[in-house]
Amino acid sequence: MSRKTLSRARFAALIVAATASAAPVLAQIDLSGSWARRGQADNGYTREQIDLLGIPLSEDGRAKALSYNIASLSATERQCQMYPPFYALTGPFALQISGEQDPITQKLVAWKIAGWIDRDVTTIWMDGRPRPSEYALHSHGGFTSGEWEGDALTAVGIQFKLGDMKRHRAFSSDRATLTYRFNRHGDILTLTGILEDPVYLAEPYVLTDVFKLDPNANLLPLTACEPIEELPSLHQNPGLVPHYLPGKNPFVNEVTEHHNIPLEAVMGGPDTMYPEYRKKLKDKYVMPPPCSAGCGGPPAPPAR
Amino acid sequence: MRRTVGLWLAAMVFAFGGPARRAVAQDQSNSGLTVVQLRPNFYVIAGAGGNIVVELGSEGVILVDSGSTESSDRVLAEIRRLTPLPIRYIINTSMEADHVGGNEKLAKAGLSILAGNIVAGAGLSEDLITNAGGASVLAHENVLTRMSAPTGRQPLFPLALWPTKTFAFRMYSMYLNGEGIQVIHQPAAHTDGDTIVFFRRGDVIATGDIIDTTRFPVIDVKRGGTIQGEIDALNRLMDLSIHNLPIQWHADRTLLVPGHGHVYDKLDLLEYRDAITIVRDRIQSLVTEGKSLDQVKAANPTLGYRSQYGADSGAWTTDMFVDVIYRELAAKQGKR
Repeated sequence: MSRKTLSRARFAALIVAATASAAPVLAQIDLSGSWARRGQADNGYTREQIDLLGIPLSEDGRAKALSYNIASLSATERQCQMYPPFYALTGPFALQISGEQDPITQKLVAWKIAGWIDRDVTTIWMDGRPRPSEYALHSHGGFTSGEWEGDALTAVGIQFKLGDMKRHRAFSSDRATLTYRFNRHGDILTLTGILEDPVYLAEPYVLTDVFKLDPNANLLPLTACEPIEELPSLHQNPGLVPHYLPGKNPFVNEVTEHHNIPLEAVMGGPDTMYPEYRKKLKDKYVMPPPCSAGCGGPPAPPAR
Repeated sequence: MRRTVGLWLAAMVFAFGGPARRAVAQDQSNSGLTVVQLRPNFYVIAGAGGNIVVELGSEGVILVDSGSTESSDRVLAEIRRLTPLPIRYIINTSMEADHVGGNEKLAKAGLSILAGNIVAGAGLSEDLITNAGGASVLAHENVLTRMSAPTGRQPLFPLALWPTKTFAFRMYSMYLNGEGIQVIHQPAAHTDGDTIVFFRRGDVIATGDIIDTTRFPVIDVKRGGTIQGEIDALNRLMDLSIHNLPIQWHADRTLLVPGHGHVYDKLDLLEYRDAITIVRDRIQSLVTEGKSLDQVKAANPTLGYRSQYGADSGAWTTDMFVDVIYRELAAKQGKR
């Protein structure tokens, strides 16, 4: 082997080594399609307004949740307000994922998770583009970039707007970071979300949901939204902000009254998300009598 | 050859490497300042003290605020990177040093829109009217009053930084670069000289320190600030702003550039306004119950917002914010 050939071989090896260590491997697995949700973390049929169990809230996160008054949703600005991307894990609808190719090279530029009626599109940039400036406007969808780690797509999202991480119960701030991990196993997609928030969370909030490829999945696309005049008081006094003063939220005890779950658990916090917490409650919890109405499921069909 | 391999490697790593955490903001320049484009002809220069809004048009450059004195050379260099056109106006949103510090340097680098020889012919001082040929510095009269001092007393700021054109009433309006510009006075908010600068065609609003996304708004009582004026100003901004409905996934919306921190839209403003109002309401409730200042502080009325906007050290702490609100509300209660 000549010296020149050796040098070329070394050069090629170096290029391979460098790209293997630094570059994301592009689009190894096809994620596109409609993915029906197999479970749902945010039960829309629950009656109780205050149920923070299992959410690793910080003191600020808990105080903000307890201050929340659902009348604030009647403000025209809030009626059409969207959820932040974490709601993809807690919300009720299917995921519709599509790939976006560069029109010339046909290389995959991004994965897009289509929006729902109240959740914006999430674009996962795969082209290594730089993040926006820290001074830029935040969006509901945020800025997310991803890379393949073996067969799993890992994506990191930042610069969201403040919003409800669960239905009107707890919030994520505009400083939150959401790390996604997509694992496809045939027709099954496992999506894990790790939400870190220095404002409203004391520890990362990790949720996993399972989806199944299904062309008839329950999709509810983004639609235009017109607010209406709901509460005259908010229009007569536009500076009015509905909220509960500390200690005055009238719904705090509902979960305890309905399900015997101790208040300290209902208030959430990092302890309440670990299995060991059950031991702590063992002597305080008494199983309630079987539920007969409003048990957290869909309304019963009308009697014939 | 070794050097060529190195360059190739660097290029390949640059081309293929890096998820979001490793990437760098594209608009951070070598000056250490950040320039963010908001609209085709609107920019924010950040990192030079307070945020600076730059509006470009055929008639020249309009700036809202001028940053700190020590940053003014770098600010000027960034403006020159955007356009060779002259700076015509600097509009100051308040009398803060990090908003007015570049007035002298940037005004001198600009060009007055006024015809100096004509005003001189009318018996007026050419230098006074045209700012010696430089850009005009426009602010509410209270800004000039606070920056200057009666004859014989030491002013807070040197003469060269003072506004050259002031207005005393609720609003000053002009049309430049095809843009209707309203400079709206908000009495007794952060200070008594705050202005909101509303670019009507561009739909961009510079809020000055009425919004500071990095902390609770500074209520500078010694210079005429009040919590009620601050909340009134935030509600005024709510009225002036429009968010992206009914097509909520479109980018169209009013953009608000705060005195410090990242760009807002109406929904961000709503959260900020709600936070300040809720803290005020909590303190009002405690004042009504007859609680002392120490009792109010012990009740932690900013809980829910403390990690977002609060600070335990520095020039403006959470304690100082609570203190100011308490004193204002207690004084009002005492008058009843």
